[in-house]
Amino acid sequence: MKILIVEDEREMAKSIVQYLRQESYVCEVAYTSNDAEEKIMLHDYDCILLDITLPDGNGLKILEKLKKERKLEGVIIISAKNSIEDRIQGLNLGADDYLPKPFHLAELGARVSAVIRRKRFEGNNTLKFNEIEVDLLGKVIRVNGKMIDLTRREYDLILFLMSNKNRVVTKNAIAEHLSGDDAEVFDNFDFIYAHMKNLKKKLSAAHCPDYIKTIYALGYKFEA
Amino acid sequence: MKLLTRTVRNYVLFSALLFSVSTPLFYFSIQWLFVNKIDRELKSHKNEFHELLPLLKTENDINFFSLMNDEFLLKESSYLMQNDSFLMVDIFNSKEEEIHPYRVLRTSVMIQDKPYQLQIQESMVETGELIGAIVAIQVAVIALLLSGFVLINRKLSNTIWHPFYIILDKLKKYQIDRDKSILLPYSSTSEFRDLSVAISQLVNRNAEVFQSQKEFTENAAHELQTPLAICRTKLELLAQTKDLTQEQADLVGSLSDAMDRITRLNRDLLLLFKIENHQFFNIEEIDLKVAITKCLEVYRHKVQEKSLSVKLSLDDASFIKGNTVLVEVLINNIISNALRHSNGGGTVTIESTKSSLTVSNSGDPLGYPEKIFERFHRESRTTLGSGLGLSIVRKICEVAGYEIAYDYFSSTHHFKITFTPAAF
Repeated sequence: MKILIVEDEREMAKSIVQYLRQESYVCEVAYTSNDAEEKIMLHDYDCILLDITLPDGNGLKILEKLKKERKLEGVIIISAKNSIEDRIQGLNLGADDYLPKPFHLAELGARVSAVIRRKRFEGNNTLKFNEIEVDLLGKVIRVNGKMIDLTRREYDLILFLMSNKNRVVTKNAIAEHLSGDDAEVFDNFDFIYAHMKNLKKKLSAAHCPDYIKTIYALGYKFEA
Repeated sequence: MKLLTRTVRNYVLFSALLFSVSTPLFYFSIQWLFVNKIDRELKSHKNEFHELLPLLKTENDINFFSLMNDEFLLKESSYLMQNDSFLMVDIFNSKEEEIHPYRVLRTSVMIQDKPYQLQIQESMVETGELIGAIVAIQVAVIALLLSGFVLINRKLSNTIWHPFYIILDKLKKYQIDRDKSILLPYSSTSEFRDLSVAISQLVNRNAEVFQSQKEFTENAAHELQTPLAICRTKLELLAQTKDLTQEQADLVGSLSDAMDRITRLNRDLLLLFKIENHQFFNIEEIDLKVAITKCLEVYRHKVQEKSLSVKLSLDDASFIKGNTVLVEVLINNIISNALRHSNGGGTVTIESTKSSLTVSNSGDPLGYPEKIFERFHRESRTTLGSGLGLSIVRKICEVAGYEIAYDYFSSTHHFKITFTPAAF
């Protein structure tokens, strides 16, 4: 899995690389738009993370170029601008997703894995891990082939954790992910504990090993 | 009290005082002058009489003289007065059958070695009338002067003070966050010109300071974005480190919470600046019902988790004019505020009419209801809000020309937004 990260902020790029590398992605970084254009011409990437505010030009130009080259699939725009116009423009130009800064790395991880899944499986969209099978289109989960009745929140929760396998996902990232892009997070994190408790109960009832490890005060980890 | 009333009142008081003092003074001094003049005439009559004296030889001569000269009265007297005396006497005038005031000079003369009392008299009737006329004219002149003064002052206040009232009006309407500069009228009066110049300078200086202050905070918020984003990612990476002890996990957890708050705060601040800078200017027609339903969908899970009951009463054909983004933020903030602050199991009521939206939620009364829309005012520190949600609501209303009101009754908080048709 090859990922290009176009980001002028070096520390930011470094963090992203470090996080995604744990999922055994191969990451390359371009700090300028020239650099990015060159890399795009030479290689094929499964996913491109594109910061559209670059020092030597607007990242939307790279997007246009990608469109011309028909290499558009798998572009996630990351932007500090978070303006609706930007978002609409980016998505209109054919980007797959738009993630406003500052984001949680777990959120980025989930989006990247979603983009790659979509690209690779072309519709037949399932995510498998040992006895767990996630049907991404039907939004249901099967353990050992048996469907488990999960609420929407519980489904989102386990998918989010599985997309960030073997990494600690903070409760803050979970709260933001569950609330959605437009919503305010306004409770304490109690509701996550409640959902998590129910989820674990349902999984163990289906004889699924306890993959979800709790790290007190911090979050959860889906451990393979 | 108006400036004009104040000045005119003082002038009128002074004039009235002057008038009441000067009129009797004037009257008496004129009378004194006239009496003086008459006295001199009487004396000269006396001298004339003395010149005639050698001609009066017999009793008949004397009688004849008295008859010929009304104003001279000769009477035999037993004694000789040493001094002349002047008197005011009222004498019956047989011709006009009236009593007239007279000025009388009494003196003694020796005619043919016999003492006589001589009385020379002069009518004061004309003099009195003259004095009356003079005083009346003076009163009339003063009265005219006074009324003319009031009239001129009133007219002047309308013309001369006109620029002043314009300046005042402009100052009242001036808003530092909206108007860049202030345009004051040119006045031919140098004082008002100076005032205009001084105000313009003051306003420009303040506007500059305000602008640079605003730019500074705005830039600061922008500049914070990147380090904040880096901090956030580094914290997440820190959470990934192997063999994290529970103590370290606690620390990273607390840091993440604080980081979230800073992030939210910064995001809301940036939004506030954007609204203040009028960066949302596209005006469209928005279906209020659709916008509310869309917002409620976002919070569907939250409503379930807090087991709140949401009562809806939405008008089917409520279209308002506004910027889509701003109206969405407005509705989102006002509804999320109600959801956030209602206790578990409480009720949130959302009501919309053709031109208004009312969101109510049950809850305890606020400690400081007057501060509810203020930035960073929070009744409790336990919520995760930035403390800017309702400030943003108010700012949007301000920019869009909507009206917002907060009220608390029957254990319920009510927020009412009135969408005035003349928005923007």
